[in-house]
Amino acid sequence: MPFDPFVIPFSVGLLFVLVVMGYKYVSWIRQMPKPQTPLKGFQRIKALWDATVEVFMESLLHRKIFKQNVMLGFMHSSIAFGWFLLIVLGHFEAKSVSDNAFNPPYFSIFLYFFVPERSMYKGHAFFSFGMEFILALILSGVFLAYLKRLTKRLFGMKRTSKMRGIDKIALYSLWSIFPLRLIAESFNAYVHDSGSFLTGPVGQFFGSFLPVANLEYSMWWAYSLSLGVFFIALPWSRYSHIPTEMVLIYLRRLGYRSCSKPTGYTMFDLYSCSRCGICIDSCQMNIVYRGRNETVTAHYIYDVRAGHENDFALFSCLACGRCEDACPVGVKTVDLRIGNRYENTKEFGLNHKIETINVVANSAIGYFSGCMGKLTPTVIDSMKQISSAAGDTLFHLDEEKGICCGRPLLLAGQLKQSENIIEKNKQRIESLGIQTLVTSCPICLRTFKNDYNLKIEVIHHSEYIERLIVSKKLVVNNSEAVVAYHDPCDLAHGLGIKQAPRDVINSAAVLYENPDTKSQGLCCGGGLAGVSLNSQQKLSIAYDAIQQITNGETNTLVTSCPLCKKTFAQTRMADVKDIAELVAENILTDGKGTQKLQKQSMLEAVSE
Amino acid sequence: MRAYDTKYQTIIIGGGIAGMTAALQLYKFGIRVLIIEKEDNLGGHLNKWYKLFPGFVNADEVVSNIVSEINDKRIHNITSDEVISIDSIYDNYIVKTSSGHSFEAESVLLAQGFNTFDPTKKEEYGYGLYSNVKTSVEVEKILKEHSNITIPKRIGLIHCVGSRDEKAGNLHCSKLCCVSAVKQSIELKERFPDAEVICFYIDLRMFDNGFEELYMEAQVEHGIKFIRGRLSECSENIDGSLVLKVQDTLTGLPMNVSVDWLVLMVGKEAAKLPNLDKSIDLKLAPNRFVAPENIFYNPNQTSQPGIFCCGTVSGPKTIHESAADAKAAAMSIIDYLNRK
Amino acid sequence: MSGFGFSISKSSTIEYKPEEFHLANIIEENEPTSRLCISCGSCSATCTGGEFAKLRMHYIHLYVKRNLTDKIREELQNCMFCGKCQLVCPRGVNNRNIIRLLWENI
Repeated sequence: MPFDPFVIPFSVGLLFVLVVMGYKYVSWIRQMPKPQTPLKGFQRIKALWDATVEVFMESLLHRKIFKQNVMLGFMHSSIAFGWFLLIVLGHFEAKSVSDNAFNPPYFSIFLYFFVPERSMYKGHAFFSFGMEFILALILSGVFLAYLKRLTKRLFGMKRTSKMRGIDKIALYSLWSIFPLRLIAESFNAYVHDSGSFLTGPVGQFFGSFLPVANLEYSMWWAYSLSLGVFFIALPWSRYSHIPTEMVLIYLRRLGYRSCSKPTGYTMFDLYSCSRCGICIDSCQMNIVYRGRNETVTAHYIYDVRAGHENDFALFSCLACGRCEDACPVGVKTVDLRIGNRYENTKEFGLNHKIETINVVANSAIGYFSGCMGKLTPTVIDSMKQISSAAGDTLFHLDEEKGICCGRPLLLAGQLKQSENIIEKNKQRIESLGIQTLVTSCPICLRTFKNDYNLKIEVIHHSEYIERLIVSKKLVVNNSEAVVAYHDPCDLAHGLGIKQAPRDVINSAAVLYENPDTKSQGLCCGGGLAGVSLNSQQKLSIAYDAIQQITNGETNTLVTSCPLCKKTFAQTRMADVKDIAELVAENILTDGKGTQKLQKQSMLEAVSE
Repeated sequence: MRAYDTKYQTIIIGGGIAGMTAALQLYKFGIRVLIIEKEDNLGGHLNKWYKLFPGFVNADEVVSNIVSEINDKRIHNITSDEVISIDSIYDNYIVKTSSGHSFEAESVLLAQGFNTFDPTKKEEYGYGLYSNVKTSVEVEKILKEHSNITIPKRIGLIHCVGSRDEKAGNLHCSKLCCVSAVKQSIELKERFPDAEVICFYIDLRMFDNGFEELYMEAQVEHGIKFIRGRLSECSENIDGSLVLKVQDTLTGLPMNVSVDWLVLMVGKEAAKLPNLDKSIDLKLAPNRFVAPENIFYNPNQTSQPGIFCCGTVSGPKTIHESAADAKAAAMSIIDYLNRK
Repeated sequence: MSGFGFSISKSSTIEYKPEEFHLANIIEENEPTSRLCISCGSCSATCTGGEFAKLRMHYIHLYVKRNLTDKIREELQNCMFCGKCQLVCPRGVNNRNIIRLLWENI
């Protein structure tokens, strides 16, 4: 069995990383709840296949990162995929020269040391060329990595994450692995007069002025050490994402999901974050911080792992989900954040006194205006106008007294308190006898859909209006006015409802959309999850957002969330209207409802 | 000025900011004026102030600018001389001073300013009895002269001392004490950074540009506490510190606070008028300030033709309001003189 | 000076010693906008929880500042954390953060 002491660092490192990561994964998996919809039989096999394909496409080829920026994608995939190919091809190369059934892992890595006579390999020209081509590919990626530390902009990133301590050790050892491999193999090639297009010339070059023969052995040591150091540093550095994200992909495909309460799955999400920093540019908290954005996921996760997280950073996140959308790994950052809040706060111990008034609705459609409803009475008024023009009756649930939907408590990490309110509210809603629940607040809507498990249909008021328009119960006149539309985070990112509001707006006005993708999907800054943000900070985000959305093309901003409306109105930079208001202003006198209203006003006029 | 004329078109009683501003405005229109000031220097109350709200401008700068203009233009003025009587003669007035001068004037402009309330009249606050009870005027002096022996650890400021108070004889609001209190609390906090500064108020009248913002700055950046409620009694400890009994009206509970210094925000009262002869009919407002003929059309004309008023002699004003009022008075006087 | 023979119960007078008001100091340090409160009552007027039970945010501010800490927990029972108090505050006091800090520190 081939052996030399220099393989010890590599072998120890490899064993170490396998044992440590394996132990972690097993303990996390044991803390995971079963998936809500477990897969059976053939579904499972298909899921495993899909996962394997995804691992190939994302973890090796980094397809999502290529979409973001080609240089960045090439850098990542050349190193990741290249290393993978080296291992695979190297394995076959070792098979071509050894007759043993099982060789220790270090054999194929340090093959040229153990079997320097290349002519002994079957198809050695092919293998040598192939291996060196892959090595050259990897080295080009490593070069780009050096470059990235100097000029970020080349890679399309304005901000990158900084590195400290163990990350630096892991990074420097990773950076040195492949150059050292090149040097060791080149020296070997010079001494044994072998080597292909890369190691041959490099070896010649060094051999012309260095005592290569004496140095070769120490180079193999260096190569082994760099590998060993990297493996040992890996579990505590950001590079733990390499194996973890692969496991995460399999778990996701098998139906495991994250939720607001932390479970073993949360740990996989947490450690799959490579802190690549792609999320940093998408975070609007950059406007609030002058220096390092401590709230954004990449930095926040670093601080948590390093043990110095801070209260403000945890509670200032707006949970808008832009970082989640930007993440190439697909880490569920919002759930991570809420889960962290749950872990870091005491139970509020609240005991809500809420009267349960037993009413029966006078209609099949209920309307919930939410806490913010009373502060935006024009929305309620507009909804009443719209529904009566369409001949519908809306039963306004919280016309007199209303309870909060429970989402604000959930966003603060108070899951149990939130559940208490949800239960009480759910009883009220179900006792009403309505079949559809319409709400004008996306925050309430999201929680009704995700956390209430209501048996009835729940829709947003823009969807309700769209239905009325499509079924011709409501006819809207297009005023030809140019307006801009702001997507509320909970509606667009949270529920994917983007088209219905736009269709409604297009029937009443002309919609302007800023073509720059960076100006799309911006948060207003007033999100309920941003607990520790003060009003000045929220306003600075709102100013920036409204400028980008209206882009000087219009003085009217339409939104479909009362909180967004109030937040933007404070900037005084445009007229802010809710979508219901826009429609109500432009109702054509048509449809049975308005005719009834018209008749009524005629009667009133006659009786005067 | 040593040599004076005996006859002037306008005599201005009071050489404070209002008197001087009016004099300069009248000078621009060629009117011969004389300023009679009872203190040793021109400048009035401004000579005593440290910094002015809301921007913390140095009062000295404001005074010296305007005094040097008076001197440059050689406008006649007498200091250390008080007007003791005004008599009318035909269409004009005879003004006599304490040093024996007598001048004739076609018109008289009252610009004597205001007096501050004497807090010994509210003896339960301890002014004059306890050494650590001071007035806001004294605090300006301490700040200006950087004089002080002890470092207080807690300072209380009481609003509305001698204003809005029937028992003090003044029903009116002195308008400026609230913002002065906010300003002084910031200055005291800057002078004594480790001290706790508390203002005890009834209302906070932050009426002008920048005042509300100053209040917010005091609360947030300087950590000054504002407690709504009146001081009922003040007693002294052996070490000279004071124990205050106040009502915290917002919680509805009485409160005991101990402070090292107590600053009384004294109100503004009408200045003493010279003796007027029987034919002069000068009406006063119920609060004893001079009453203008008509606050909308004729705010600088008194009930006596030929006698005008400007500045705080007709009611509390900020410094820039006094200056603006003085210019308006000058225009009224010019109009009067032209029609004479 | 003990009471002139009248009361056996604890005096209702507040002894104002802010250096000893630990809760107030924590809140002030972590949320400086708490200093802006002028007890105008806009928050309490709009409060969702306040419609059903006693919940007055401006009183909570006062209780913190005067160290009447035993009254705070009772007053906070019905809070639903909806944020309307913060939305209507004319001076920009960050009420929700203060409520969160109170629950952490009571």
